Amino acid sequence: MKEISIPMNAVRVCNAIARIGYEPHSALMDIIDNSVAAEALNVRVFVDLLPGKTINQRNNVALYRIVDDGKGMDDAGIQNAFKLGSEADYKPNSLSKYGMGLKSAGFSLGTRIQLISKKNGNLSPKYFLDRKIIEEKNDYVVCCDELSPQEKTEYETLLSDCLSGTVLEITGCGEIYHTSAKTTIDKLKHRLGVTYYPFLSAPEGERLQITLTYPGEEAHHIQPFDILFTQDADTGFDPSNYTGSRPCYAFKNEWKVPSIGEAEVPPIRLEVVTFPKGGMAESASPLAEEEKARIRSYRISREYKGFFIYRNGRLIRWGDDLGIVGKDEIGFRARMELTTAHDDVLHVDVSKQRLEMDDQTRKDFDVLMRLPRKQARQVFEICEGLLSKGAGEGIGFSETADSIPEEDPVEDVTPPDPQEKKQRAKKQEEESKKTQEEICDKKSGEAIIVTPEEEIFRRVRYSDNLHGMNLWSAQKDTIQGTYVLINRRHAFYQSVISNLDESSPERLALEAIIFCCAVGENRTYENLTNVDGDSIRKVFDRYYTVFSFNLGEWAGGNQHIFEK
Amino acid sequence: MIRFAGAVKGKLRHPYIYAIVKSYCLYIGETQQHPVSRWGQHMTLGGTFLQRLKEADEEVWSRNEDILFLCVDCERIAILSPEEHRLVTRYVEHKVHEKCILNLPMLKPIEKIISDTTRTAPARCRYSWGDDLASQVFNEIIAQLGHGHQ
Repeated sequence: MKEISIPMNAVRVCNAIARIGYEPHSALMDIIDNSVAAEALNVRVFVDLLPGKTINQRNNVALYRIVDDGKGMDDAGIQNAFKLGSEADYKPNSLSKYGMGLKSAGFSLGTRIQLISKKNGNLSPKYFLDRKIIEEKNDYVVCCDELSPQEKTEYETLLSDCLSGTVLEITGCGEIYHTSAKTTIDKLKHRLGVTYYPFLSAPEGERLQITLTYPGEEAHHIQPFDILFTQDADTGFDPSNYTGSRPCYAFKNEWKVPSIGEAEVPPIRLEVVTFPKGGMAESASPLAEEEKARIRSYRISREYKGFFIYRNGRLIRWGDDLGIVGKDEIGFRARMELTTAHDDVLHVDVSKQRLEMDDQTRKDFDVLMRLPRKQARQVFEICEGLLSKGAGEGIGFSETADSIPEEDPVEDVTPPDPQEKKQRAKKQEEESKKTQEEICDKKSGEAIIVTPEEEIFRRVRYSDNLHGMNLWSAQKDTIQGTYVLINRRHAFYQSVISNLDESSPERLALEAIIFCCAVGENRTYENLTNVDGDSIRKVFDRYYTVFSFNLGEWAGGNQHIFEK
Repeated sequence: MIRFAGAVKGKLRHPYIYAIVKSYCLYIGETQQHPVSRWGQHMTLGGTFLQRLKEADEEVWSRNEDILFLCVDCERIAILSPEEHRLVTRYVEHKVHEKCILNLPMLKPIEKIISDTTRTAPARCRYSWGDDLASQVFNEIIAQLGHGHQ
């Protein structure tokens, strides 16, 4: 038998490994994995920009530098690290797998990867892998050069706090098409806390610390982020008592997957938490401000739904639906904890960012997730019901009123007398202030414009104390403009409006009609300055009296239609 | 020479969870009647068990070898009002599926569960003992498999 060694095309191999689907933030996290695998507890990531580029521009990075206090490498160790498929002596459940991460992640970020390492106090020379040199030589060569005195000082300073550690630098970044440094940094800030959650929240002495330094911020510390908010989650879900204020556990179990061969495979830990609708944090929600703020912190959205898959304590898949979670099951969030032992069963791929289940495993998984998915849908349905009931009459509409411009489309065609317009507006505002005081005198606290809890101006307000029997009265606020008072004593309110949920589409549509009538009245009074103001008032008064009387008669005679 | 092939004792109308095992395939189901009537349906050519078995492994389906039938009488459910029986039994059936999937290595030689609860699993059970009941059924299946019924 003849054995023929086939040489590789170094340039093409480097091209290939640089394009296995990294985004800059995921490539940087793969490099951080190497630091974690080297038992580092402090990892500092630096991003420097190219001269003249802003942080928001594309292809703006001059240098990525990752400094760690891991166990460091001697010269042989560094050379091995640059090997394609570096020799591995990984500890059980290491984050490393194929010995390709440094090269593939590094070349996806730039054209040159440089390592300087300190082992037991001895600083190495600089070793680098440069794609231009590889192209020139058409060979996979690692270069080594002594550090200049300035470089030596610089790296000694960077590694001064530790006996061993490594500095990795990637340059030539501008030659590779990249998103902006801002996007990468934002994603890192957002995702590092989730990705390394178990490491970042480990006990003192084992806890990983990651800092990000970039133009504009010195040492941003990454905080651990529990994607499931298990501290807040209720242990069970009872639809009859659910208030939409907290996440609820839907599943917490260990999945003992069948092993291949004799070796026992540890169970997969699976937790599912269902979250309330994000709308529960908005002003139409009946929840207290404190609860709304908590719900906002959950970041309930499509981006945060699905399975968050951890391998050996490191997130490898963000919000994957695994072909199981529906696109509208936004409140479904699960954490799946795998170890190296599950790589074969679940087919963890080379970049460790994907897994593929076979049909049987997927089918079984589908059965397991059936009730949690149902719970997620039911939680959202309850929240929708609570939101349609609203947080108080008029609030739901007021949230939508921004789209009403309060304009008079014929004002430009027949411009009003500005002086007269100003006087009429002032008169209206004073009268409204008086009306407001009268209402508040009769019943303390009623019809408050802005409460401390709500930052929204109520454009539609309801009153039991409105003078007269009209259904509504148009009012004007000096700063905010038109608002309308709806008379709760009117038959149309009692028979129709009060039977509609506070934020139901029907209620909002009726409030929109009433509010726009009030806008029409106010604008006509102010802008139609060639007609005497008192005459306009008389016309409107009479018109609304007749209108309200007839509407009241109809509502009073047909109460059965809207009875719940 | 004879071999005792098993006996099934139970009320005609009662909630039952049952299991059918052939080779490495397991089918779990529920019925509100004596299981033999349901099993009879499964064993017809168009029956669900045989269909699922054929889909899973045609060779196992075609072999003339032992088929194991197990059933558990859910007495705890039977004392509820009759209109609740099916819903609670279906919940327990789903939970038994869950437990079998989560603990498949404990069910050796079972490797594949060929039934599912796609259309039948209710979202929840109003009785907190529902999960415990499912554990008992699951343990009974393990015990019977362990008794050498294979």
